[in-house]
Amino acid sequence: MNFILKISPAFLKKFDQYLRQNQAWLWSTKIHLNLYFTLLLSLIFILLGLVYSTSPKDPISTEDQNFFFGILFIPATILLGYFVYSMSIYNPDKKAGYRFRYQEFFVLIIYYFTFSLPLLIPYPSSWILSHRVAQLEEVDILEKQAEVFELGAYFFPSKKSNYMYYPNDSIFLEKLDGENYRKSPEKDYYEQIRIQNRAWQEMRDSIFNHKGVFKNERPKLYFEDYLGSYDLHSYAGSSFYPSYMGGFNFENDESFKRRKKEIVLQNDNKLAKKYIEQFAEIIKTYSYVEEVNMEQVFADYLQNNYFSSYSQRQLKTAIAKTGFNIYQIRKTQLKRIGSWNLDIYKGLALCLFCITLIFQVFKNSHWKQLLRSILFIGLFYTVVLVIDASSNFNSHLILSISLIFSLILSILSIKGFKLKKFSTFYVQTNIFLNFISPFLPILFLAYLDVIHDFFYWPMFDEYKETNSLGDYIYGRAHGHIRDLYFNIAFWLGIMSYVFFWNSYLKSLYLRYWSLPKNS
Amino acid sequence: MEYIFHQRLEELDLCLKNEDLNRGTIRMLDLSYDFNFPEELKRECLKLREHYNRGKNLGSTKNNFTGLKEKSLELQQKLKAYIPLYSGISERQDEAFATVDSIRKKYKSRLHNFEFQTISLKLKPGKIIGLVGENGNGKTTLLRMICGDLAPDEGEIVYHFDGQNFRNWLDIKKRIAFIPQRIEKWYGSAENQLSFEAAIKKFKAPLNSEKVEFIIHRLGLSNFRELQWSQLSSGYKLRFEIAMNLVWDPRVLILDEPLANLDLQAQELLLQDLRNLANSLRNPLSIILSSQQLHEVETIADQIIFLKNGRAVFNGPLSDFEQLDKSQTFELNGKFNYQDLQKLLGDWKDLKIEQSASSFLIHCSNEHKKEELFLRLINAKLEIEYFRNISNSTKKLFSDKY
Repeated sequence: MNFILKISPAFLKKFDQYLRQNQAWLWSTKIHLNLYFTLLLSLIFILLGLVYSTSPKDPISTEDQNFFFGILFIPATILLGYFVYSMSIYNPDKKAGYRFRYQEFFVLIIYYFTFSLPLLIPYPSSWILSHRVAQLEEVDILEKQAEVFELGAYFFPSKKSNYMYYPNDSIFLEKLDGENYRKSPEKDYYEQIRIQNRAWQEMRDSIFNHKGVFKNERPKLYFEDYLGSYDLHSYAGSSFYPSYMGGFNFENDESFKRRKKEIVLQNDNKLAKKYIEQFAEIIKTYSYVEEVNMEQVFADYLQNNYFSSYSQRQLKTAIAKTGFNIYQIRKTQLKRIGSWNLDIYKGLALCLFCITLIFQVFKNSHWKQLLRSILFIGLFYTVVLVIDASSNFNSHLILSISLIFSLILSILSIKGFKLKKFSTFYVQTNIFLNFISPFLPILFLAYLDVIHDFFYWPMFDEYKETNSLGDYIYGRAHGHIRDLYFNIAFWLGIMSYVFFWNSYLKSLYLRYWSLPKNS
Repeated sequence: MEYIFHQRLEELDLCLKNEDLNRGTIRMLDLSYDFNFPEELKRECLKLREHYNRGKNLGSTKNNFTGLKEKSLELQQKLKAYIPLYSGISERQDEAFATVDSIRKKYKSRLHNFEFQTISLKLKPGKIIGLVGENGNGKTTLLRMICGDLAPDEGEIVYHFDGQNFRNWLDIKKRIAFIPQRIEKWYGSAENQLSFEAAIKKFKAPLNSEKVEFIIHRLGLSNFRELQWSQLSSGYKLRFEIAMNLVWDPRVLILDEPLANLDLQAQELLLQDLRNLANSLRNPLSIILSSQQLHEVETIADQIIFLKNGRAVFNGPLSDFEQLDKSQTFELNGKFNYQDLQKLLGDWKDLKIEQSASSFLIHCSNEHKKEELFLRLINAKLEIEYFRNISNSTKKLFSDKY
């Protein structure tokens, strides 16, 4: 702690001294230093997030954003480790220090915050970075640019997979529509299609590469038929996000499909020029290419020149980069913290609460007692689980035993107030209750649900409804009420721990700590 | 109370006349706090003590204490001129802080059985109990039972503070301090730890700083206040541990082998400090300590408990021991051997000579005096290098004779 104090400003040193002399219990949690350094580190990281270079030509990819978060997570975790260590070395209770009423309540809150604060350090910075990337282009404009990029790709043949050979327009339209694929009941039909596709792909390759059968001919190639979007979709395909999130949902956009048909079927030079111009602009925005020879691109389009005669071959990388950058910005816009699933936070909060519980037990009892209890509880539940699973009890056994155990041990723990000698059994009882008490209501509800079909009791009949087949069954509202009950039970458990069990168990811990031992 | 005040002033006079500045500055500090002198005087006493500690740190030559004697004499005059109010100082209560009533403890294991036999004692304010005996005879067992770390099988210990009995160990432990043989590590600087220890026992600022400053200077630790655990020698670790347990004014102080890691000078200093702190007027302490340093403990203890095989072979003031066993025992060493002594003293009544690695123990009837022994040794031209009359010391209980 001396190191931290040495690098602390004078006011913090003074405050540290004030707390040590006046509120030793608070001082021993080191929350003041924790808050200060968390804030300081967050500010430094926020600054880093603000100055980190990002532009449409070079936005930080979501992978790099995650990496950035990961990097910041390391110092935050080191800080957390340091403060947990500092928090664990001072224990006024074990020195029979004086306490005020409900001190344990505030200590619990402080422990919880200690565990959560340093973990939150990377979030603001990472959020700022994501926000800046998302703000590189407005959502509407980006969508339009993406659309132009998808459609204009037809005039910039950098990718063979964007094209397909079809004997004529009507076959192209038929494939684009895809109706026959869906309607056909015959298995052989698919095999025929595959064979035909392979033949057409060979033709496409020949035309695109100006080699083989079509070495000297320049038939027209069509947009590949089975996808609505091309380049953007290829990036989205490897992502965690579904394609429509990265690919702007063009598959379901009828207007997009119509315009795609127009480009391929109408051979409208005016339209071609328009798309070439707009596409060139996008390339210039999202890549380091400064000039595009549009006349040459147009000429190649008119002559159906693909790869071999394609004069702007160097654009291939720029086009790929443009697609990638548009996709990254779009993905970041969708990823931003506000749009994250709340369950992630809930899970994290619960996880931190469990860590706090373990730490609390560590502070309230000897570490050997904690290890012993972990071993005992682990072994006990392993045996119960094995019996439960092997005897097909369907969780009945584990739920019943947990509840019965909790009830018996809760009653037994009252006897702890009358103990004259230290007892390992009672300390273990306390630790068991410490771990299970926040989850007692939810365990009880699960017991009622699993063993007594609680949610199918007549009181829930009001949530029944008649479905389209005329069956009178539990509807969606029943599911909602079930979730509500479990949510209430969960929060009831947490609150009962915070406001009752914590104080009750603490008074027992204090007593056990002071009692003389047998040896 | 006025009598005690003047007695303390006389003691101070004597210290300064003998140029015992260490004791002099300590007693001035004690005086200023015991009789609640004005803050200004207290601060001056602290400064003077700090001056001494600073000087001592540089070495032990007189030059390092330049001006200290003059300042001490000046301050002494100021203290003499001050008339204390005696407020907050009550007459010494003889009611025991703890009554240990027939406690007994048995350890049973496959390899070793040990029984600590019934013992009763009272821990009174201002009194020091010395617990002596060989290793493994139950000293630590008794201390652990008194501090509530170990439960006796039989009997009970009743703590009594501020006119009421305490049975809840949580409340008792807020008032008693136990310093075990193996001291638990603490963190941060020694001064911060002292401040923390005082704060958790309800001594908040500004009293907190006052208590810390007093104990640091009182125990001569000011040169080490900024140091951390790893930077301190084991002797100073112990002294800080004692400081940490005294800073919050416990009623009972229990020390297990506190002299083990101290040099001879530090042992004497600590024992003297304990004696003075026990005699504090504002917070009279009851002290019980175990030690192998029998002579040193006997000089300051009001009561000695000698344990042998878990049994208290002696439990009472040293004067009682003198009445109990009138036989003579001399401890000596020199350029002679067992046969020489046997030949020389063979005609003595109840003679028993024991030889240890470093000395001989001569037990005999009280008809024989030490002068006679000296005479015989001189006449036989046997050179004496070390001699101690332990006839009135419980040390003779270590002998095989008992």
